[in-house]
Amino acid sequence: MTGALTRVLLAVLPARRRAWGEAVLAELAAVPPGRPRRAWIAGALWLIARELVTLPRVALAAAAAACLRLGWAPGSTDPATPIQRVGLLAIVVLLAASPLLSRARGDLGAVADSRVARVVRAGGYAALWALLLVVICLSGYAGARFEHRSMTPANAAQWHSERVGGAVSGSLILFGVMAAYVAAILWLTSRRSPASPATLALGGAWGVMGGILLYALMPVGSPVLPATPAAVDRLLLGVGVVGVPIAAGVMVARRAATADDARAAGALAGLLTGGAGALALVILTIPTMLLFPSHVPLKWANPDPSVPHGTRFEREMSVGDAADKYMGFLLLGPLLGITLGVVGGALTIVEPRTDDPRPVI
Amino acid sequence: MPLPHRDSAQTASVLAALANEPAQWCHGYDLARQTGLKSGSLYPILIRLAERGLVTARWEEGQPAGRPRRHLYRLTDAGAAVAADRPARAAPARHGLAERTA
Repeated sequence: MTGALTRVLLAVLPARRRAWGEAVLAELAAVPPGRPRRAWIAGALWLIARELVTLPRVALAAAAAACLRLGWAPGSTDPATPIQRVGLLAIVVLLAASPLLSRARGDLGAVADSRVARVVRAGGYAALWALLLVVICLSGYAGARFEHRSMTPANAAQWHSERVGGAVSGSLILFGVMAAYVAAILWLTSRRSPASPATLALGGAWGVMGGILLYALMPVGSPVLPATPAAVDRLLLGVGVVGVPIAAGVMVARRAATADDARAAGALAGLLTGGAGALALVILTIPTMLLFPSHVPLKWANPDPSVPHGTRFEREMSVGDAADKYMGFLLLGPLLGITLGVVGGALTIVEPRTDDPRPVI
Repeated sequence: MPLPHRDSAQTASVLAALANEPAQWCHGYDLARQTGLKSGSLYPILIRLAERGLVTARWEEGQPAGRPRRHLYRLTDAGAAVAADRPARAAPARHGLAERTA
């Protein structure tokens, strides 16, 4: 076994096990050459493999393999598919490699020493994998209208160009959104994070509750549930979109020492609330649309009244268009959350503290 | 009251090997020869015993010529008590006592 291989194997071991890896390899010089030494090396490799193949890593590898398998679309004739494959691969690599940053130092590095930070980081990762799965399923359903159909575009070259261009921009936007969420999760839960455990807990919990509230009001993208008066729905929507981030900002800002700290705390809580709410909303709503596509409001693919309405093409198009708007919430949610969280922080009356040196944010 | 920990026969054999001369520090390869265990089985047992506070470990002092420093193992007082409590379960050593380091 070469020294370089030994160093690589030891480097990938968890820090608490590295000394044990060095210990078993240090014995090699005492083991007689030949079969005993080969057996010792095999045992050392087995020991290292046991440490590396942990349940979270197995789960991560399984998630990556499942997403690639589901999203690869073998045999696709859609010109957008090769680009979407590259985008999918990039996102899977991004999500799979992100946990490695947990060993690094810096603003995006090791997780803070609190249970809340660990839960938020793990929950955030799990939510992003779920989001990727949702996007793959959505792409498979809504993109089916471009596959193996008797669709004959009037201008095939232009259609091809638009499909490829749309796939490039869509893949770049999705990768950018995923990377931004990964960075935000790592930053907010790292040891250098400005967010206290209370901010993480309140922001995350309020966000998830807000997302669930909005989902309950619009489970398949319809703005109004038929069973309730429109005014009630609008009021509840307002509470979910506007009231929740402000409330989270107020609750967190009450712990601040100064008005500036209150606004900063409100912004952090709003960022968490908006991000967690958008993730919860998208992860719940789009699968519901895919499960019940006939309940998604139909869009006219062709306004000519002589053309049949409610075709499979129209359903796939309607679900795709409605879901795209929800994907926009992933960008809008955190930005709106920050703005409303700052409002919540500014609305909070801060009483100067002289005897309580609690963390301000 | 904690439940009694049920050790495997392999773990018991490691405890017994270390208990032969509890004041001595043992090398991993010596323990492997005494117990007949492969390195892939021996070291996870040593790790668990160390985490339970039954075995203590340290690195060999000084840098020997031509080879890396070796890791040394010895029973703690708690480990000696556990080993003394279950001598009947210890598997017989398959090899004679090898090189030991004081």
